[in-house]
Amino acid sequence: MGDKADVWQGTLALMILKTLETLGPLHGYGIARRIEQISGGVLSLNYGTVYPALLKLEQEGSIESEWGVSDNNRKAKYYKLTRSGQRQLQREAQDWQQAQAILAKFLSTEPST
Amino acid sequence: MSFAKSFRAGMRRLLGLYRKPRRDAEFAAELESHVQMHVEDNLRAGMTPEAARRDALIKLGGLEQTKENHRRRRGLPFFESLFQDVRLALRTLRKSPGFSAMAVLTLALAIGPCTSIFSVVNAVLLRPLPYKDADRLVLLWGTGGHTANRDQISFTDLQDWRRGSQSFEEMANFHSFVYTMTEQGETQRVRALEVGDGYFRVMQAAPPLLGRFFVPHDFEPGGQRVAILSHDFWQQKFGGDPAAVGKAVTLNLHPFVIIGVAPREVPSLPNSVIFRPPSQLYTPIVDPYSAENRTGRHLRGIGLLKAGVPLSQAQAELNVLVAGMQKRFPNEDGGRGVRLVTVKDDLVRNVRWTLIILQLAVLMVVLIACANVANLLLARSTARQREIAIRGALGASRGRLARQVLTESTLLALIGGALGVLLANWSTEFLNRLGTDVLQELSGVSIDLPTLLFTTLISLLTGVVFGAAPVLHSSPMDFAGALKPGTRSTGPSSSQLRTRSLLVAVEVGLSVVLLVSAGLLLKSFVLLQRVNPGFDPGHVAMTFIYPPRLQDAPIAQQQAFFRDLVTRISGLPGVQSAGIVSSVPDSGDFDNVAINIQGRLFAPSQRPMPDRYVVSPGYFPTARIPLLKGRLFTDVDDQAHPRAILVNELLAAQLFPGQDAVGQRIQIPTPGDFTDETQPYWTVVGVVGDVIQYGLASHKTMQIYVPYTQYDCETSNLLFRTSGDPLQLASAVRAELHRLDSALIAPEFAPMDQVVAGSIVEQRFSTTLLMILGAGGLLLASMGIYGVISYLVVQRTSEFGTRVALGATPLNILVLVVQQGMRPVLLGVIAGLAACFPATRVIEHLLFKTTRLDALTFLVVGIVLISSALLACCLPAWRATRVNPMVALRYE
Repeated sequence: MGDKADVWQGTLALMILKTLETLGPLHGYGIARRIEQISGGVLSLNYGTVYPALLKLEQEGSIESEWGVSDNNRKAKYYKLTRSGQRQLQREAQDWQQAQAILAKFLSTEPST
Repeated sequence: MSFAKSFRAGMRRLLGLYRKPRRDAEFAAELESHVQMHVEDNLRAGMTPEAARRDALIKLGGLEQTKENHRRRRGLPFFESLFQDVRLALRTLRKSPGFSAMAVLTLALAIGPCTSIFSVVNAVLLRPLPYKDADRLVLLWGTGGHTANRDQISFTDLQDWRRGSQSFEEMANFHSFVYTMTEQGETQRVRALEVGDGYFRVMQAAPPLLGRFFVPHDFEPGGQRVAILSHDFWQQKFGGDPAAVGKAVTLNLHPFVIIGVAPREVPSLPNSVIFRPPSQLYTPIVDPYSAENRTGRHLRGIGLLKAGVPLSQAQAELNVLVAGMQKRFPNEDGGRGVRLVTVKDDLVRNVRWTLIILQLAVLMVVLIACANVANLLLARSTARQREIAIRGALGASRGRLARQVLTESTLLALIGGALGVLLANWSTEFLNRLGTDVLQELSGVSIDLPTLLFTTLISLLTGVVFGAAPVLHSSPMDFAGALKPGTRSTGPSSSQLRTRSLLVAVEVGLSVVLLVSAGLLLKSFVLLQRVNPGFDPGHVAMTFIYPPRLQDAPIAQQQAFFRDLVTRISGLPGVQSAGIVSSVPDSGDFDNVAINIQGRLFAPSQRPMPDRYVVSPGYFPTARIPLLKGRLFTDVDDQAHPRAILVNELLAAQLFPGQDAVGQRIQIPTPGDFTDETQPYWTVVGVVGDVIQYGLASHKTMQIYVPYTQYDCETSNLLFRTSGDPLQLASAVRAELHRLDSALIAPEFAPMDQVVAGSIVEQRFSTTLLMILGAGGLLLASMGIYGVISYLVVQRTSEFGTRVALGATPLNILVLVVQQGMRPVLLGVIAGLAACFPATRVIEHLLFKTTRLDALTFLVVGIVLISSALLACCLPAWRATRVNPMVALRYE
């Protein structure tokens, strides 16, 4: 269901939520940097793609935003996880792990000769 | 993703449409801060400021792109671009006001007046009747008599049909009547319906509000007379008093006891040839079942078919019954039959065909308008090829372009539609006022919603389809071609040109058919108006005289009354002459009798049935009916002298061909104690001119006149002639009448020329409407031609410039333009005239003394159309000749 873009969007959203859970409230730049870092540089995404995902999450009510001040005394828009966002994170993380486990079983079976 | 989440997201996106600039600014700020932070990190990592910024922007993925993605996610891009399209469309339309105005006006004209006419027509043809089970209600008309199978019937005949027929649940006679109600010195005219037993069952009336309906006892002659009040009359006159039942009222000087009040839902019947307002009272018909009442045909009949019985079956059954009765009663029923017509068909019988024709005419006008709009849009799309090509090159998708053009045409259509609805309102009001004389149904016609939807839809559809079609047809390759320099000289594609020419030809053809029809009707109407009614209605007024005390009074008293009346009125200053007549020609009233001629034998069904008039001697000079032979009535013709009768020219020619009618003896029903065989013979003393009795469009009929002094005369019509406007003497006459008999109700005076004109009011109505439609069609077609030629000229401007530069004279250019414009017009005219051959068959029977292929009309219409088209071509053609070749060529 859904093509590559949807799947990618879905995983991006999950990564954002996890980031916010781990690091607490953060601005868009910081989130994008963190995702790149965690993925070990494998994912070289355009930082700009994070913003539509952030908007979607905000529209769905999983995160909320607020203008604040960064460490360098710069004005930036901070995003924070909401309670429903928390629940979504837990749920989707569980789904992913389950999917991973099933797939692992499939991929580990011996090919028939 | 759950539904709740996506719904919430959708709502937020909808909200995202608002305050767009602010959100744009906010996100720009967010992005700017993002870039700044990245730049700072880069600087710390050792990059140069320029490299730092460049790297930050690249990693971001492009500022504009990111903004665009965000924007797309934020709002609902579909709606946003729609708003953009609408704004752009409005601007574009404002820039070409001529085109916009014409398109809007055309649409408005199509929707507005056409909807009203259609509504009016529908209201009459399709309006549900207020009767219960209206399609089972049937009128019984007599046949074999004088008036084209719409005769009144007799009491006894109906009772026989009622007894013998299996197809009806119930049948009853009815007859409209006017009583004079007197009450403590106050007199009032009351409209009543005399009904036979079973009437209320036929109407399926609910139980009476008070009291009871008639029972068989009430119908017996000689007993206590009873009456039932209508609901409205009970409210008006008796104030809704529950004790009204049992009260007595005096009608025509007889006491009637009120025995009930009818429920509100009993609607009144269409009473006679002229529609009259509803009945206020019901009284029973007290004719006994007798042979005498078999020949007395002064009643009508109405019946309720049994459920599921088709009209044809009932008619067949009655025909068998009638055949039997004709055999058993050859004298009374010879040649007499019955014809069943549903109440609805009867109501619209005269006008149905007219109304259908009007509907067709309206449809044609709508089609012309649509063709117009289509042409305008096609022409315009060609002119904008270049603009569209540029947009395409700038990256607008085909879909987007099509949508933009669609928005424009839809907008046009909507504005035109709104204006059209407004026009529809106004023209409906206008039509209401114009048409209330024709049919009572027409009072208070409102716009028919389905019609409005239909015309609006058709117009909108045309606008939309023809607006978008060219864009949809073009391919991306065309864009490139259109952008090349010199594009302006490439006109529309040849297929488009063909379509447009075809549209013009169609418009013109339809207009021709419309105009020819209108022209034929106009000619008919003019001829109709010129018909000589046989008398001079100018400066004459009439009024109905009904003195209550004359009912059942001895003949001598009646005669004395009217002698006195005529003498007094003739003596009034200003009155040139006065007379009385029992029924006034062309007023809708009529009176026929069957006659015999001495020395000749007629089969009962072959007896002549002339119109009968009971007159005073003064009638002839008042109405200016000429005397052709013999003499008119004088005071000599009274009870003491031989019975004198006058006949009209037609009767003399038909019944006494080659002989002198004067001196012949005619037997007519005479008041007094006579049987059919012993009726006295009257001597013809003179022959007078023919009078048109049944309306200007009718044939001449045989007519006889008898003097009131030798006949009975309970009611009559007074006619008086003055030198000026007869209505000015109305009050003097009214006063004199009151002096004569205080119980005479203040009568209404009608000028005779109005009465005569009233006999053709329906033709006037339909002719006027068709002329309006024809003119409308012509106007629209001319507008269309003008519009198309204008655009063609603009398209070919550079070509003209080239030609002029090469030595063409203004005349050459003019001829070129006119040639191009008139080709489809001529085609359309020829096709239209050819189409008239079958088409005019539709209006054939509406025509009066005009053939449907009237050469003059065809010629005139052809000339009118060609000249209008020429005129419409002229202005743009003239503009074309003014083209400055330098300017035109430079525009390349």
